[in-house]
Amino acid sequence: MFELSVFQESVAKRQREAVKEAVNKAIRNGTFTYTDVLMAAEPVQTYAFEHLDGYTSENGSSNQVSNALLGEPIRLVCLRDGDSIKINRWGTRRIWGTNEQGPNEKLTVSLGPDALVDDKHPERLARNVLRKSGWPIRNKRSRTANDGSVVEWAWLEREANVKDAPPEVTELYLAILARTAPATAHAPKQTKSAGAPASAHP
Amino acid sequence: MAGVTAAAASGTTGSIQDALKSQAAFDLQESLFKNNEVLGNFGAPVPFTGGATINIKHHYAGNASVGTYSEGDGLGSPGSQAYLTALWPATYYRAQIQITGHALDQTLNGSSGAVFYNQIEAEFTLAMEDLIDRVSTDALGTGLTAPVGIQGICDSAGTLATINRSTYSWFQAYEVAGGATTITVADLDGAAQNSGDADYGAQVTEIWTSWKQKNKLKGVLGNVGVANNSYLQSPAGPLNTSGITSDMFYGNVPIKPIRDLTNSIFLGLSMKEFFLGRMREWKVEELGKTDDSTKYLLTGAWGLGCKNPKKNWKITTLTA
Repeated sequence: MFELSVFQESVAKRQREAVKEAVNKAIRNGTFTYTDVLMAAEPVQTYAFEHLDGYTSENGSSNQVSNALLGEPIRLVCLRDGDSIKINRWGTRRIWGTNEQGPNEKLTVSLGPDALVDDKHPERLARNVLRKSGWPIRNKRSRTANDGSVVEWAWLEREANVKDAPPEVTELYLAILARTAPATAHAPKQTKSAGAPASAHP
Repeated sequence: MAGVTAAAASGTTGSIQDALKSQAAFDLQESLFKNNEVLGNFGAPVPFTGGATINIKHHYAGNASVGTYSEGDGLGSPGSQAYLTALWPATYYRAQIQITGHALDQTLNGSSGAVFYNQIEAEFTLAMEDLIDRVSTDALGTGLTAPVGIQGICDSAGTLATINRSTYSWFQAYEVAGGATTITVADLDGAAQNSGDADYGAQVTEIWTSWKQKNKLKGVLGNVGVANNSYLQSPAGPLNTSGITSDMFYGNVPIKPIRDLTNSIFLGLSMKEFFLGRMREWKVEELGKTDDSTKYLLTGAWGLGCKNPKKNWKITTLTA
């Protein structure tokens, strides 16, 4: 998504503009993926997310200057059969034996192996899942020390169909396609737990 | 029963009741738990230096022009570093006390000749302890805005110190759910591995959890007298059953049970990153007289912050 020239731009202001342009172009062309952004080196990644979220830090601190772009659900799929996409959400549990709620704490929600996950403020679930356990994002960011386990389907589909795709990319794509075959052509398969998009505002 | 008796027999002369002094030991025994064990972990308070926040400058991107070159190569484009400022807030705390003229008179202003403990003075010292308890439990809480809590800092989402961690992902702590509802050493290993390596680079110096979770972890390791327990009693020295009051370590990192911390988590903390901001030192001010009473106001302003939230981790959802 980002040309080499974007990373080599020497003036921060011009680099921000180049990033915005690249992101807008990818959105217009339907080729935008969060994986591309999360794989990009800093500060390009930060500039791209600032643009997507309507922030700027040109004066040294972060300020909201416009509305966020995107946020719609994207399809995330576990690489391994049997895995599940897990997210953490703030919530409370009922104190056993009472009708009172306990303290605020993080609760885990399983979205199943294949889910549409939104990226709305403030949770930004989709990108946070990818940030922590996305493939090959985690592999790259940890300099191969750790492996991602969830892939953004749009990225995988695109990468598997380029001429010089690494063999493992194609293999994974075909394996997931076979696993989720009945409903993948145009409507991504929904698991039972992910019947509705995971929303920050359920 | 006739004569001088201990019982307060109605109508009987000779009871000792009229002669007995009201009895109680001097001093006050504290039976209310108040948490004063948290704030000292964050080192000496850091004074605010003007303005509403303590501002921490973050460097988050390096010079992209760094590279190798061969003889005769032309110059590339210069690069530069990138920075952003985090703004950490404070919270104002207060307590009010009112003492009537009658109360001062009848306690002889707290004199030991009249009272078993100095209730006037105690109102101030105990209110201060109540305030410290409140600041402490807030510091252990989930707050992202003032009052900011350590669970909010050790998290991967939400806006903290004006930095939205979904936009600026280098401000995220490593957060993961436990593999099951009971902690395992593998959970700790996983958190240590993922947060210790690039690009989090955590250098955890303490692990905080609740007393119950420390008990759970000890149960996972194995209890003395139970078959196949996985740790050994030192053969030298007296026999010791070991208990959760014993020191416990993950590697060389102490696992500290923290009272009032949410039960379902383990926190891996790089303690040198944390600071307790002091906007206003505790102070007591006498307010104007109200009828025959005097009012006092106790105030202070404090804020927990972390220079680099990314260097901490949190294991969540340990509900067992």
